[in-house]
Amino acid sequence: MIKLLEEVDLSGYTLILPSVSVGNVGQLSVDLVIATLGLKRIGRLFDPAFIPLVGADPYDENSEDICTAVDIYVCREKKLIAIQIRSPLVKRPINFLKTVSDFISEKNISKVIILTSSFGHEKRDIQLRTAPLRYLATNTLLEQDAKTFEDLSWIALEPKPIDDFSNQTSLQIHGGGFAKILFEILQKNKVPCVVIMKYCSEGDNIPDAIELTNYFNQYAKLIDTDSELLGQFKYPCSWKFLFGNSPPKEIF
Amino acid sequence: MVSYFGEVVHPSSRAFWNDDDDDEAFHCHEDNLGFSINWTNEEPVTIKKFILIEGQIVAEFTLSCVLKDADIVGTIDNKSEKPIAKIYKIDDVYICVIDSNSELTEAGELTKTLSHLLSKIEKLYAITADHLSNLKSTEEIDSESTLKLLCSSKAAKENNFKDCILNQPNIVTGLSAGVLTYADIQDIFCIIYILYTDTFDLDSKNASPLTKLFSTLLEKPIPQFKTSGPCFFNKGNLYM
Repeated sequence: MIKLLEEVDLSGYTLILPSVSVGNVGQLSVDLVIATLGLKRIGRLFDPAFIPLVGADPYDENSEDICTAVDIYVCREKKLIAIQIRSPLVKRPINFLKTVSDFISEKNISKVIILTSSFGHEKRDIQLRTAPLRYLATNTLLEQDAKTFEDLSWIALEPKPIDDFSNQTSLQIHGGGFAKILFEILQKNKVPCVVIMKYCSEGDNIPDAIELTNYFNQYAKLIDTDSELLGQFKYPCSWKFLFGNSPPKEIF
Repeated sequence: MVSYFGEVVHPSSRAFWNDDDDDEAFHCHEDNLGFSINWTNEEPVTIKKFILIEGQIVAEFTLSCVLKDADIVGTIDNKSEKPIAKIYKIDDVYICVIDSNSELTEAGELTKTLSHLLSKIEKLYAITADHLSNLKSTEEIDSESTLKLLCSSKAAKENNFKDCILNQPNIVTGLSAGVLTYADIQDIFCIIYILYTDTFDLDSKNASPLTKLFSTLLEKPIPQFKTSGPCFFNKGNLYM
């Protein structure tokens, strides 16, 4: 169920959404974009596949608004819409993905960027020598942007052998959540879509999120590269106390 | 001794509720958990005030201090024999106590089941609890417990809660969070209260915000408030 606060003409907009994946890198990256560009919340999405979650506004400490498991934000200037997910999946997200793909079609959203990550140990020897970032684009997007990817020297996600005995290969994003399933749905619906992913390991994944945001910004050009803003992303206030409270005074 | 000596153990991620995000892992949770609301008499057409109680210490407090002689007017059932929640009625107020053994993974589906009922409610409240050590804040808390809240935009318009709003990055999960999400989407008045206590038991001091809250919500003093019973700390300190 999607509820928008107001009707917004989203035709021609770019949608970014994270897939709940290793180290929550996609979600952290969307948080950075929302906080840096000051996106405004325009709606919510409720789906029982996610654990219900509420908290105060993650981007403005003076706001009385709340955040929930899935919120929708918009930036009219940049023609950008973002869906942020803050909760893990406990069921197959079939209804959620259908709701999102129907929303994309109904609102004539022109491009979808799915941000995700994959387990670092999945990289093979040959991949260790390259940047730990890959992309996977639908045919409709490649028709218009193949040269851009080439100019950026981006590396497409390499297929992996299914087993050691046959020559069969398949595209896999191990630890990438629903990214590939949504990609396949959008590919079928002929919606231009790109999955941008980073290989990483679990830990403090803020550096991974910054790297992924910098990387996809080369393509999306959301944050002005001429300004000093690049590399100086605004951290949302929800990132405070990431490693817990300050130690109690009593211990000193 | 570890049983996986010599084996390749793939790391898991905090991002996934299950160990992995593989398709098979999602199969363990059924899509339809079969929740239903069953009323002893007729289902109410409108509900002026509905209070949802979630969490063991708040549930025990409510059952022993607020609902001692209240009638059960409905239950929320699933495939198991025991109801997942019981709905009581005091005057015009409906109080729903969620079983403390209910699983967090069921909260989304349970919210969906309750959605029909939620749309009939004028004022919806939820009360839950957590340990004070889980409250991330720069604020120094001297008292044994503190009550924080989060509310829907409709409730925020009607009240000024600024001082007691739960600050970022604290979050609430579970059915309370589910009903607040649904209420905010449907523009229903909803406030959820979170009692942060310094112990896992209640005593007369750290339960005082709860007694005040119930007196306000029920618009009368709590009739049988005693600091004895299973939900209160009543052991001596002399011997273990």
